[in-house]
Amino acid sequence: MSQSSIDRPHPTPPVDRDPRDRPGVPMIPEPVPAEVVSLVLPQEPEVTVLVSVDVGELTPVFSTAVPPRGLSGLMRRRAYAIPEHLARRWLLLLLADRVDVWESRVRRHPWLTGGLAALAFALMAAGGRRR
Amino acid sequence: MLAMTYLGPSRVKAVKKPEPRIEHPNDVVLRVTRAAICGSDLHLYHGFVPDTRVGCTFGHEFTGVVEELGSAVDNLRRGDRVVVPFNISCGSCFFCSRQLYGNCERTNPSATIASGVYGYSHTTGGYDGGQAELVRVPFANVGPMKIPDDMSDEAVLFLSDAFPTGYQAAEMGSIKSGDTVVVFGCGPVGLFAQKSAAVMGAGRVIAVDHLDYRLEFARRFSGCETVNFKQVGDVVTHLRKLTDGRGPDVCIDAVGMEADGLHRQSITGKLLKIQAGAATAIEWCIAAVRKAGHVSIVGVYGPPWNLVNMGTAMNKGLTLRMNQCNVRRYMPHLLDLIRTGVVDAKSIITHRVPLEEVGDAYQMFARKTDGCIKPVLVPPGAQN
Repeated sequence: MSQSSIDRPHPTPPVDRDPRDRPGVPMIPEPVPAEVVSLVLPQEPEVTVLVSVDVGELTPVFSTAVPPRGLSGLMRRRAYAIPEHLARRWLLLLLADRVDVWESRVRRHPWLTGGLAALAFALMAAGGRRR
Repeated sequence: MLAMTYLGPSRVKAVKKPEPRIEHPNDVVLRVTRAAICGSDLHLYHGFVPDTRVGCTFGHEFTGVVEELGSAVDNLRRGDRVVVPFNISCGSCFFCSRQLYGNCERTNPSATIASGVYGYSHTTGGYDGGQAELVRVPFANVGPMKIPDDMSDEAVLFLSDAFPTGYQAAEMGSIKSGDTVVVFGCGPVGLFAQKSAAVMGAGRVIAVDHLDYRLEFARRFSGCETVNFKQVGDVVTHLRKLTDGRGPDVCIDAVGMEADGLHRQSITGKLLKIQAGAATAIEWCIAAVRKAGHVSIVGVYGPPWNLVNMGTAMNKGLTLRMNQCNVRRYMPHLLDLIRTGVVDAKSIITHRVPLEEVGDAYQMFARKTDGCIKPVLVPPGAQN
């Protein structure tokens, strides 16, 4: 890593003192006439793309990166059917995120995960016999 | 290609991923030349933003060279150097036609709360970000701005987010000549908000943080006064004392959901996550600003809710303004401020890190070690 830093104060002329010189004033400018609004050719979905119940339909452009999968994917699919103003939608998505992390660990280390599961099963079985 | 990849909270790594391709006639594919790590990337990194999927690539502040063009892109050519706004905007929907590019309704099928954003979870569309060798850029006729031949990529890199966001934060404060403006947060957006407040003629700019190296940097970068909130007891009372007992005219939240300072907010927002992050900076803004003052919020908070002192805001007659930045609207104006030397945006870069070491860069930025203000990732083969 390389590091650099400023070592001098920078004078700041008040060149935008007049609000009329600021690009976001007024906050909401007049829209362009409706006839200028362009139609956009819809992108073709090649993977599963979840759509929020509040959006209703696929937008003309969307991402195909990281489609939903596994148990976390099922949870996300359920969450997308819940309106966005309800907290349970977001809490379910946060939970799906955590499940996704565990699923990805299982996918990356299947032998280790299988071994641990077998060990846990063996310990439980041994514990059951002792009782 | 090599790309930063999210593996779970506090775990990211540069790994090989399939190269992006043209998926729509309005797309281009860029070869990334610089990609910054934004403070809001840390919210993803720490697992605060819902629908952040393992395998996604972060990064919404980047420059690049056009590598491949869709058939409908007519304002760019292969080899053009561009800086890209973090919002993905169609340019012509109900919101875009009003220049509210951060609210575009045609780029995010996952939620209505925001437009598509590069590398910022599926809550903002799930698009892969620019912390990679290559990135897909939808609606390339609308967002990317060509970099003038006489300017470097780093000189304009922060036109993608941090500078316009800081400027919009100051603008939403409706700053009048001579106003006192308090900016909570001395990260990159806070620094640009301080500088922009001065550009708009603020009489006093006071920066609040608790990290001395950041306060020192703010003094040098924007020439502001500084307050270390951990050294003054009650920061709200302290700010009132600094402003004739009345409070500042404008308060800006440039911190967002991972704020320090109030145990109640930190425990409920960051530890227990029963609110969408700690709303400490909003609470302090509302409490500190004078009656009928302006509070401007650009700090990022996730859905679904936060504990905010709304009754105080109502009774004080405050104006609250907030939004994701409408970046494209600000780019030409802020390019002029950089070109004329009013703002030296590049000077906030403290670290340049090879993309291969992205995990170390995130760790350093998150832990705020080594005097880190702004780390910038350099993909393999990108010129230094």
